[in-house]
Amino acid sequence: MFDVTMLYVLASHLPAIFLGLFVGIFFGALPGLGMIVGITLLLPLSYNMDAVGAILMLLAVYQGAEYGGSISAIVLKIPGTAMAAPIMIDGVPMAEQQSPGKALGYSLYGSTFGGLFGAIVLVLFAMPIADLALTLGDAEIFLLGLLGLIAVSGLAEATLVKSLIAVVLGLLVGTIGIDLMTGLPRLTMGLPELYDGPNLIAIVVGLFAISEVLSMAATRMKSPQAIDPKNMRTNLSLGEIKHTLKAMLTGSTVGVATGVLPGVGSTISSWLAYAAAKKLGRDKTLFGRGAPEGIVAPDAANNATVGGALLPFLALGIPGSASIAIIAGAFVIHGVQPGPQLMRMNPQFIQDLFVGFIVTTICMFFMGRFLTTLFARALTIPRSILAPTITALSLCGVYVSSSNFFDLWLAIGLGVATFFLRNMGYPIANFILALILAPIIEKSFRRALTISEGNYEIFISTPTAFMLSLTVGGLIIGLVVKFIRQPAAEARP
Amino acid sequence: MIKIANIIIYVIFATLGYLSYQSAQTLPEGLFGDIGAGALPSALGIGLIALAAVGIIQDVQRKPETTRSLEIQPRQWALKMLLIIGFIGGWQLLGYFFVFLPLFLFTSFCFLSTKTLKSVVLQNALVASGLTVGAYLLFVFTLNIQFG
Repeated sequence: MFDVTMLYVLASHLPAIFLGLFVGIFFGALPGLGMIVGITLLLPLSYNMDAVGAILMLLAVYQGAEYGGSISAIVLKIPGTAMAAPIMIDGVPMAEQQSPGKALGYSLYGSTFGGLFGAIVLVLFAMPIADLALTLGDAEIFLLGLLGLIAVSGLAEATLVKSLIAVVLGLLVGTIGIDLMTGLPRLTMGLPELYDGPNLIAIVVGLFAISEVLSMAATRMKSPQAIDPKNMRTNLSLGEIKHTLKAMLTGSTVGVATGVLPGVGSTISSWLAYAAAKKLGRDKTLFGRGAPEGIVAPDAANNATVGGALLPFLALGIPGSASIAIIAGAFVIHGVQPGPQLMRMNPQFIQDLFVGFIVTTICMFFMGRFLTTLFARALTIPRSILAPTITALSLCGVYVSSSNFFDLWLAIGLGVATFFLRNMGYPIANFILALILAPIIEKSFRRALTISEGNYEIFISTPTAFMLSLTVGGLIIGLVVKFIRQPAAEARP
Repeated sequence: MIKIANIIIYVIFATLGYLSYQSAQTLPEGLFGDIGAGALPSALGIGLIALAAVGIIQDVQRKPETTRSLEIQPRQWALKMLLIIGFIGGWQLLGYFFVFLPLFLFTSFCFLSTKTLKSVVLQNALVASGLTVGAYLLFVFTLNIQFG
């Protein structure tokens, strides 16, 4: 499996991996920005890279941000990302009683263990799942895509109506452009710039970068908090590592399992992992007072989620989260169609990706070990510098992707719209997921019907399709029940 | 206030749904079992109208005290928007990206900064220049992309 060619390939991708990790840890550490802004900023750069390097860079952002969130949670007592919130419960007391470095050390070891665990699960299970997926027809692929969308709609924190509107809008935007089955332009308003569909990078930049910058500009710019970057040594003894192995394993298992499920994501997985580690912990009374298990378990879960989330995406071609949906954009840009065919037809690509993913996790460990102080210092960068820099960089990125001013205005327009919609409680992640899934869902649905000559029984004609249809039906009933039970008065605006 | 904003947005979505439906109706029907290019946009248009209608009903029934107000600094937000529009507009109309970029960065830094000390202004100018040089090195020198 490992030869000189692969070493060369890996070495050529190391700069991209390190850049991705740096951006990921940096944006993960900055409260409010997070991994999606980091991925968004680097996505345009991926245009000028080969497919493996581009995807590894974006995956490195994802991995790095999962660890980066813990830095501000422990140092500033503000979680950099939502999934880092449970790390504060034990991370902050440990930082106060021992040192921030010790808490960050546990966080780093947990993240690395979780990342490697997720990668191993990915390597072991991706091919068997892809083999299984090869037996699936268009009807099953359609139902799987639909299942993901319904699960995401039901799990969103927003009101059901707003969550569904975000999904419908995403699907609608996903249909813009030339219809691949008939060659007819749809919803393009006569604009030739929209014939290939709206530029994905412009959409992602508008949705995540510009809207975030506008949110920063709309709130009062606070002076950055002063931090004391002392005692940041992330050393752990062998005994300390051995003591937390069980919690790391628990967190990683929870992380992978929740990562596979569409729409669940790291936020839920880190809380579940914390609860599981507490339940299985030797001394439950230590939790909340600086227990190492309370830090490593959620951190391991966060990073294991990445491998888990990649599993259905690479094996079935169906992204299960907003971050993976944006990474899916990189696949699309490079003309790579994830799914069982890719696993079978391009094993070298998959092999490079898997090995690169493991290397990314190892690099994250070393970057965390030696640069955590630097990332902690990054927390002092004023927002007044960050916001315009992100704006300029993201707009440059959009221009690089198409050399077209239409896309710049599109990004700005979407940024403004998203700024308002986010404030009104619309889940933007649902939109992007639906946008990426739209062509998969539509194409497989129409192909299935063409094969069956318009007979809808094709969606229950095989045992798998029947089971999937039943699950979809069950979830729809669940959504209806949720809608009826969700009182309007309690709904968020 | 937010209740009215919610309703306005629902009305916009309903209109968008209607326009999508109308536009999709102009597409021919599919053949040999295919539902056609217009089927999904039509269905989504109708779905959007229905969801917007449900949203309006929910909002009308909602008690006003349960709504959350937006915490926005409108002046700051509008000025930031103007700066972005000025940056892209100027660049599109006149070219000279590497003139507009430091101008945009510097004015934005100064405008968003809470301090107006001379040293801060100088620091802002230095950061804006540094970032511009960085952007030039990355995009033009390394990636060979022309910005005009």
